[in-house]
Amino acid sequence: MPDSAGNLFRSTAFTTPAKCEDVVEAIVCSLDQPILILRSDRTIQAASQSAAGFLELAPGDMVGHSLDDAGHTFWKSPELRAIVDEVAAKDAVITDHRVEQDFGKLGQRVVLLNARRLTTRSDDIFVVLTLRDNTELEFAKEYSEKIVDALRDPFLILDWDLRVRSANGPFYKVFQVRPGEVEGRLIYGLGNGQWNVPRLRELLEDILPKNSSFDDFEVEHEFEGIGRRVMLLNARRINHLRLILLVIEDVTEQKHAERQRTVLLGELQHRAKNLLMTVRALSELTIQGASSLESFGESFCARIDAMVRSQDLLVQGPETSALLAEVIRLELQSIGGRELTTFRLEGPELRLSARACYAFAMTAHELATNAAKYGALSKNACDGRVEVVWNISPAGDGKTALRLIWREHGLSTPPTRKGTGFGTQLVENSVPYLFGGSSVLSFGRDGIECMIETSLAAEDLPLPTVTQA
Amino acid sequence: MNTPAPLDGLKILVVEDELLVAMDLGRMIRSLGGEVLGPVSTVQAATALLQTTEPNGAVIDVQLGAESSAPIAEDLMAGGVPILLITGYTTEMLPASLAKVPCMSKPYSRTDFRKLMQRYFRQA
Repeated sequence: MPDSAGNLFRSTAFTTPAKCEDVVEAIVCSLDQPILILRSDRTIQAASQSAAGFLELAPGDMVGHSLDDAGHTFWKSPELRAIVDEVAAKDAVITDHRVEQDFGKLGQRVVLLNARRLTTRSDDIFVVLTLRDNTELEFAKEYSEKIVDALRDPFLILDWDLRVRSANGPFYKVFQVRPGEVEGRLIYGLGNGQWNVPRLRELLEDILPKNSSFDDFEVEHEFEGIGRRVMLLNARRINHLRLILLVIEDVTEQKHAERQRTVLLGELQHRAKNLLMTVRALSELTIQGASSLESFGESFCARIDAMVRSQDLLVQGPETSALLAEVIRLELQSIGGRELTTFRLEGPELRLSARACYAFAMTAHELATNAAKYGALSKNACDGRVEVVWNISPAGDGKTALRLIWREHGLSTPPTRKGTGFGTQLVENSVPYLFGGSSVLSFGRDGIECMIETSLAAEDLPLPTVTQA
Repeated sequence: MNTPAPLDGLKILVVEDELLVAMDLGRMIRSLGGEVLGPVSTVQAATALLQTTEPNGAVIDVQLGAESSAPIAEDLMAGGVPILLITGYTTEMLPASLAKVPCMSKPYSRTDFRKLMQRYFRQA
């Protein structure tokens, strides 16, 4: 504007300075932007209407007055004096000199001052002073910077040539880099070239210019210093600023959790299928030994109940484990046994894995059922009792040897009728089938005896067991 | 019946870590006239058993607790012994070496399984 005004002064159409000044004054008055034409003595030669608010002068009181007459103190300040003097005397050019002041009715404003000298043919010196109100822009900038700072996800602002203009705190933190290693660099050159991914190049260089955005582009990469991560990228192109905003969400943990969930779900399905299989096999096998529908129903439901009791214990225990004593106690209680009155348990604390728990529960269930029907806890017994005693010892290979004796008292002669063949098979096989060793049923001095000798691997004893010397 | 039982004279190895399922499999095999080898619940026990006896067929659970039964299955296949796999997982999760072996997903239909055993072990 000053240049074109200068040309006007030099134009052949206006030969006398006075006439030129009139023209300039007319132009200046018609402008929206605050603009002042000053003489070197700081008298206002011309001013646009919008300058009045900043000067705190009535619009009609500007021309002909000195800046010293302005209502606002800024115009009398050494700062402004220095600017005008420097431009007038030394032909200096002032560009975007920032002033933040409370301009009374206009409120707190940020103003950028531009000034340059204008010399007429008759060597009159003027200073053209323009004000640009930058308040909204600065507020907007501060606002957007705060938004960017408040984002928890790493964030990059890129130029259109894909150089990093700036990054936020989380970016530096997540990727363990410093501002100097990032700003001004091409995105593809960051770190060990980890962003130099063909698909990302395609998105940034081909897709983004056409679509102005993309969302949820996944990058999985070995990032220097932080290991393998999965990132989701969202980008927005800002056309008028020629910038690209790139938000980077680290979804590594999320992905990991998703995979974990899939594995768990698969495991759950596997277990459900196995359980259904077991229940069906149990029903088939129970049918074979049943003399009637009633006896089938009774045995089958009692066995399912035993499985449910084990499941309950496992759910309550740490890492789905259960104490051997608890497993046996529940089975004896389920047939009406009373601890210390009709049964006694004695042995070191032993925590069993799920499969060991089921094996011992099935064994104890069949023994307890048999005791209630034909053994020490049946009406055939006199002062009947069940003693269950076990001990453990190291067995090499990190295994623990377990010897458990189930001993019944109160029967003078062996029961005339034993349980079904299937019940006996469960007693003899449940533990040895999985863990080796033996489980032998016999008739002792005054009742049924079952001796189980087996060895359990560390994985079937979830908590370290203190083995007896 | 005048015709011999479908699995008459055949020794079928059963490798399955669930005792009840193994017992039930054994019963099915016996009801078809077959002889049961095992059942066993570990690779180690199966290997020991195979040193003394040669089966005419095998029913093998793919997963035995924490261990995979693939080594036994592969050994038997190499020796020309027909095997049937059962799995609680989906059949897509089988190791590549066993991808072509007939496989039943748990819980399988007993009728289907009987038919499969008859056809497969008898034919071989």
